Amino acid sequence: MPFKVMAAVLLMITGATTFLFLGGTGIDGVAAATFLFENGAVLYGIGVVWIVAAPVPLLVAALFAGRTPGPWVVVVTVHLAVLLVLLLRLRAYLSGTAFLGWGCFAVLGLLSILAVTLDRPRPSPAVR
Amino acid sequence: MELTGPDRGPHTARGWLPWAVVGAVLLVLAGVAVVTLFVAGPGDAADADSVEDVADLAVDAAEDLDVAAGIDLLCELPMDLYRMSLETLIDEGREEAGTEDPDVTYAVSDVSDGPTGSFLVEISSDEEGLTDRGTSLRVFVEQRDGRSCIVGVGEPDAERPRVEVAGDGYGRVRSPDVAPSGSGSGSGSGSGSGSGESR
Repeated sequence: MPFKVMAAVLLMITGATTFLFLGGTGIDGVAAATFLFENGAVLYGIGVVWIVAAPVPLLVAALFAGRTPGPWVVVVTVHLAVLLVLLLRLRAYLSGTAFLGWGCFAVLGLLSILAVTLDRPRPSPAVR
Repeated sequence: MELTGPDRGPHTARGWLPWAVVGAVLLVLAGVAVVTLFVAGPGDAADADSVEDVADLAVDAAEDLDVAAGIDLLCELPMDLYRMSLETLIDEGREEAGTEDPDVTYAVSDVSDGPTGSFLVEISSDEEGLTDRGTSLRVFVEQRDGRSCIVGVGEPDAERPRVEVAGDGYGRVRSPDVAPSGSGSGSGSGSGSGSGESR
């Protein structure tokens, strides 16, 4: 599966998650994050902010992936890590489906990292 | 003309680098998982196996105004309504006391024995502006997924929660119980009772 297809799928999933956090489930993600930060729940606050904002850095990294794979590798890693922290922290409330979903997302993310680093632009060969 | 750029064969740095990157990402994720589970996890809340454990942890969370610790004690993730209610309560308390960290006392009593039941919390403060804001409520605890957790709150003499902490809407807000005095679901043993003052 080419990188562009995987990146598009990851972006769609991340965008759908953002939609849910911005009102699709009746949860006010911005107000929730503000409240969490103000009351010391920094871990949860960072998680909510990242989930809401993640499509932006992912999109930017995808656009620049043709030039350098670094941003895509970093952003996908951070996204997977934040989701993993939230899943583990909130595991008492979640079913196995949530972890299965993360697992599928992680596999796709890792494949996209593999693809983008395999396709990374090659340095111009020196000509003697 | 001779090319002197990096060799790109499968057995060169070019060939193994993508796999090394994926391996590094996996290592990072494994490290994050370990740190979350053993350092930044829900801690004692995940191991609470009695009403007394939950009562002690709830008092600690309330004294520290530790919202994250409070969330960890709930059986279900609270919906926005409860976040806003809690936010309003905290803001009002701070405003009326004129301090960010009002001195509030939480006295716990009537703690049920075992993993399921309830406990009574009496909240009071000597802070100017809060002296007449004291209140009591009964906190209901159930055992779910092998741990004791808070399912809701009600009046001090209630037998069941009037408001259940739930993530699925307003449906579980009940009208107040008309229960005989002293018929709380707690055993009345008073075990584990305690009080604390906030910082």
